[in-house]
Amino acid sequence: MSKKNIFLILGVVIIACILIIVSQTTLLGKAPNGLVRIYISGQLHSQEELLMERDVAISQPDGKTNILHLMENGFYMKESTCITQQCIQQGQVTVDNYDKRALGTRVICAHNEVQVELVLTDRTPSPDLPDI
Amino acid sequence: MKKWICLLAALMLACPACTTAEEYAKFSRVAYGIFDTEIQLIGYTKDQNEFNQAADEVMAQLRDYHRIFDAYNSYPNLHNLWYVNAHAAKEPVEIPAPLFDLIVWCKEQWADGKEGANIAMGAVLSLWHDFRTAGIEDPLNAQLPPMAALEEAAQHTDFSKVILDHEKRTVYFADPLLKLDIGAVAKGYAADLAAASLMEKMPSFLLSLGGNVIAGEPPRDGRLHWGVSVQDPDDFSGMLEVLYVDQLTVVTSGDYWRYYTVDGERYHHIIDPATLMPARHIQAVTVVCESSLLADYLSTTLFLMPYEEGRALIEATEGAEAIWSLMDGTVLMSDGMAKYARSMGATSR
Repeated sequence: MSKKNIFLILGVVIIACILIIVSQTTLLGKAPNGLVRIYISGQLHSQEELLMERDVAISQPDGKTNILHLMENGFYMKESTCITQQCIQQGQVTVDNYDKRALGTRVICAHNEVQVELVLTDRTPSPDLPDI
Repeated sequence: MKKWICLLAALMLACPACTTAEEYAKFSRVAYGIFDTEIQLIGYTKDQNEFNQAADEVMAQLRDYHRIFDAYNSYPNLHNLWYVNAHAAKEPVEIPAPLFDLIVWCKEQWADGKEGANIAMGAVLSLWHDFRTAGIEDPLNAQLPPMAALEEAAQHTDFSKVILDHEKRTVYFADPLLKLDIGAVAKGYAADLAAASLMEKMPSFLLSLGGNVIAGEPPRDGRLHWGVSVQDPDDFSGMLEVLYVDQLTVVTSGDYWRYYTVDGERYHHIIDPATLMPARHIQAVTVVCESSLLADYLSTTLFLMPYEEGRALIEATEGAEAIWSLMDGTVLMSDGMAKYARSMGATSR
């Protein structure tokens, strides 16, 4: 193998490493677009940051389960064991549409007693937004 | 010197008004299992303990009303609606004051000859309830109640056969197959009773019992009114309107919350006494007035009639306003609703 090729390979490896490190650092250091708070039976169950797309399972001891899909700018209920499936019909809550939704920042699964709420971290909501 | 004293006095007088909003904080609580819906309470108090005390009391109160008005379950030592339907045709049954008062109010509305929700339609509504529940649990085998059974049940819906004794606080059914169903008014009445108690403990509140919302004094954050969203019947997550209210109630009846599907067609839970089938005049109606009981009764009544008749009824009812969503998607409101509606320029301030 010629010196030229070795330098070429080393160069590619170094650039790849730099790209990996930069992308990791950017993701880790990235400020979340908001928080998602998950309540079960009115009690705070957990809190998730909106950073990247992923599913979060909300499982209860009695078998009731909701699968929440988190996005970079919001969330929606993907699956639910509830009978009515109304929580899925409630659609997406995002940082851009919460002020146009009847339920505002929330998705409610009344049957499973699960409430998921978008908490905006970088803005003060308008005082004219509905309370309920 | 006098100038400075006057200035100081003016500042002291103005101070409480300036700091009122700062002294209060917003708290909220959500509870489930009461009236088969989500109960949400929002309030402004000086601290969390004060809010918790008021919330604990009102949730306990609502749980009690839920048991009293429950038509499907019995509870030890409680003559609730289930007990009344099971025993009142055999002998007069003494019942708790809230249930008796509610039946009396409904009978007065009926006796006045006003068109409206008839709580003596329990025999018909329970048939629909049973078929709807079975259809939701087993959608592939969902069926409609047979019309012959509905027509037979409709023979037992005469409110005059509900005999009330005000002194003994008893109810007796002169028709052994008659049943009461207070679904059209129970949440509204419970909301009024809960609100009366909240006004003493935590006057700045917003209480929601599913589609029944009741607002206390304005939010203690500088706003003059609470904002209540009205759902778009065509879009489950969409907002039709925002109403800004205080010391008023907002109640919606619609075809999109409780329903089941048979052969691809939706059948909701508000049954027209004329056809014994789900009413098909409008998609939804929202009523604003002072009493949640009246708003609940009116919203069901308006849902059971064409828009033109409903408009005439609202115009004849002092202090009540309404928004209708018609079957073709048209949205119409009574003249007085404009002062509450965001689409007409209303705001929270």
